[in-house]
Amino acid sequence: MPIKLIILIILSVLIFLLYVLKNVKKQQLNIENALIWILLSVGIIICVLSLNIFESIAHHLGIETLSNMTFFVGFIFLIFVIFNITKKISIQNKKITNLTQEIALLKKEVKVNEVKQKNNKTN
Amino acid sequence: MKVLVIIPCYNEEKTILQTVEKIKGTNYDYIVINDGSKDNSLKILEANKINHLNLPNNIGIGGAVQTGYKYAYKNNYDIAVQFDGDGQHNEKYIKNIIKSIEQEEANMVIGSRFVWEESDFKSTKLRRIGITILSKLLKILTKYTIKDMTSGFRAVDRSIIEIFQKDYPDEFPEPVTNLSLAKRGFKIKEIPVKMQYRKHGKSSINSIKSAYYMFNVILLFLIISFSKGDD
Repeated sequence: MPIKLIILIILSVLIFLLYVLKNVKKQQLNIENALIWILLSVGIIICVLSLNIFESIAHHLGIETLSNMTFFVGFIFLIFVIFNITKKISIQNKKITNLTQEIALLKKEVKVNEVKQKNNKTN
Repeated sequence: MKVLVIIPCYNEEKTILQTVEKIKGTNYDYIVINDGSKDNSLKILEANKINHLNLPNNIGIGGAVQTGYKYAYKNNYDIAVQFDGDGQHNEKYIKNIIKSIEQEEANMVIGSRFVWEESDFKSTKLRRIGITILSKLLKILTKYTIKDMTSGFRAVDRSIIEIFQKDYPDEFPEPVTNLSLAKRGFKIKEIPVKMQYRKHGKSSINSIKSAYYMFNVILLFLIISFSKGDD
């Protein structure tokens, strides 16, 4: 791979990494969710710097070109991430349902108590 | 025994008042759960001083009914009856439905459209086939016979109120709870009721979605019955 391209990739990854860290600092991304993106960035840099090793891995696995392996691994990675997101959405739905129910029940309790107090006063 | 009628209400401005009046006539306690209706349902409930809970979000029929079970549990009701707000169910059958629970012959009683041969409830053919498949599947998986798997007209005792207030499925609550209660060995009874065709509003299951509904329920059934224990 030409050295210019390697530098370009590493530079883009570093910018992405900085962006991730900035979001963590601003508390718009929690560290648990950020970890996967930090690991991805580090992983890409390692891959780019040791292309020869990966080329021989691909070769031994019977994958003809390195780009095919890159697409394959990237695809699996994305499926993993998306699955986790759908799981988190389901859990959050459950939590929202619970909160909504509790609010309705609490409001009712408050109302009942208000009525009771009014009745006590008039008695 | 203390009986509570749970009436879920989502966009039922045309029928909710009528339904509540019918229940008031029976002298059972009731609670309407307004599931974030977008129409005037809430205004109607407030203006007529109807005993209700108001869910600030629309969380779906499962979550709405569960709120009723939570209310029943908190307020020490012995029996809870689910009753639709859309005018489909007839309040005259409530007495029959809770009878077996009062006599401790059953933990849950389902008001069924199909145990009567002459039942005049004409649901769509597709839906009827779907319900039959679910019924057969339940028989295979648990040996229980429940003919009307999707009936939302049912009563449960205190032990099931306790389970439902803690854990109630958001999706396809009737068939799924039928299966999980059968798996746990609760006594389930079906009694015949007649239901009216809904006059207003749409069923939560329309015919186009029926196939999709069936696929999901069957999948869920298989997952539940082949996962051991922790339900």
